[in-house]
Amino acid sequence: MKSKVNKENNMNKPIRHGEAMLVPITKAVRGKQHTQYIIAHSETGHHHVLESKVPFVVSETDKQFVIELFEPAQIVHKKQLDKHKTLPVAPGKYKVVKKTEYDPWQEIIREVHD
Amino acid sequence: MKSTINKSAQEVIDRLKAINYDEPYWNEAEVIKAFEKQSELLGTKMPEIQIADNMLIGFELAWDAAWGAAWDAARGAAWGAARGAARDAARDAAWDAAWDAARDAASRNTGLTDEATIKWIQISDQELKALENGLGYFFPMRDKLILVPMPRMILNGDRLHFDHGKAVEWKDGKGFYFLRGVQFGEKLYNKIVNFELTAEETLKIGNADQRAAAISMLRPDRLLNMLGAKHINTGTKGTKLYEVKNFMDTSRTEYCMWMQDASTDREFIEWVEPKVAKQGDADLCQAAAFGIPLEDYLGMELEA
Repeated sequence: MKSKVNKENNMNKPIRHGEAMLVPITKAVRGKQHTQYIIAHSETGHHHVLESKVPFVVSETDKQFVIELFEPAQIVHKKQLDKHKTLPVAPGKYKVVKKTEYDPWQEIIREVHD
Repeated sequence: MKSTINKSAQEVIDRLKAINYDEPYWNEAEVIKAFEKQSELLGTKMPEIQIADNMLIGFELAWDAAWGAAWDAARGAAWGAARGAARDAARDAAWDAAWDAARDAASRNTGLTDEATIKWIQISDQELKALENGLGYFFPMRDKLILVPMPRMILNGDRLHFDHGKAVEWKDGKGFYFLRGVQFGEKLYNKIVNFELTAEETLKIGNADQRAAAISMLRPDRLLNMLGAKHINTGTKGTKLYEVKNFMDTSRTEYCMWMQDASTDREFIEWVEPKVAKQGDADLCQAAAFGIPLEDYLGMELEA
């Protein structure tokens, strides 16, 4: 999919990358600055990584995972084959949510991992 | 009753969390140093050290040592370790060591200051240090100490699972195959991950745990067909919601979503919590899986 994202467009649309989704928020984000941050871990090292040339703010706790981007960034899947495409991310504030799935054998809900 | 973790125990937990189980780092010199210190604290002679490249070799060495000495207790320990390896490889041992270390740390702030307790803590600390330096298993035999490095372990959530090779693997290539937390032999594992098993062959797998894991790994079309799944809704982004009555003869009705990866040709199945799926809306199921409102899911434009 080809799409160009800048400060003016697409700032309020959720973006899905594998089992992770960035959902726009309005609340201020306070945290540490990064230029690379894993938004979804993979046990095999195939992480989903948010990257930007300009530092962005990340606050990740057990309760919430939020980011604020000041310039366009991208989400990259660190995998050689069968990987999720790189997606552009517009500047803005987002919460990061992870997909869960139900296990009908154990009747429990768990996080989805790639 | 609400329990609190004291500072010392939290420190140990943090150290254990910092250990990288999917890329373990083996520092042989530091591991040996930890056991030398432990031996010194125990006031015992440091035994001969043998390093085993993997758990199977470790077990063989332990077995030989136990048999040679006709030491029943050691044989029992070796058998116990071997069973652990067969069950879920190295993880149990790592956690046993972790638990011991955490328990010891927890005792630090109990006010027990007698010499024996302090010594016990110091002795246990050495095992934590060894674990931090890549120790997976150790067999304390009468005349020798057998050390086994920690294997690389790939977990999906809390279960050993890897569909591209061994989920537990030592540096020399030895290891174990796991799917959804269940161990498989190489032949059956390869058939499953290469989608070479038919639904009928899958149902004939004798071990119930392996059968359930293999069913969950079936090619989506075969799985839906085998379960007699009924298509009940298609979402705006192509997700298909299916209803499965009498799921695996449990008399329960379960629901699953079929979807195609946005970046590749891969198709896959994800199961949905029945209370959500009952509403018959595939998009709502996707939104619920992400824990977001339906309108947020429907507003999503970029997907990969």
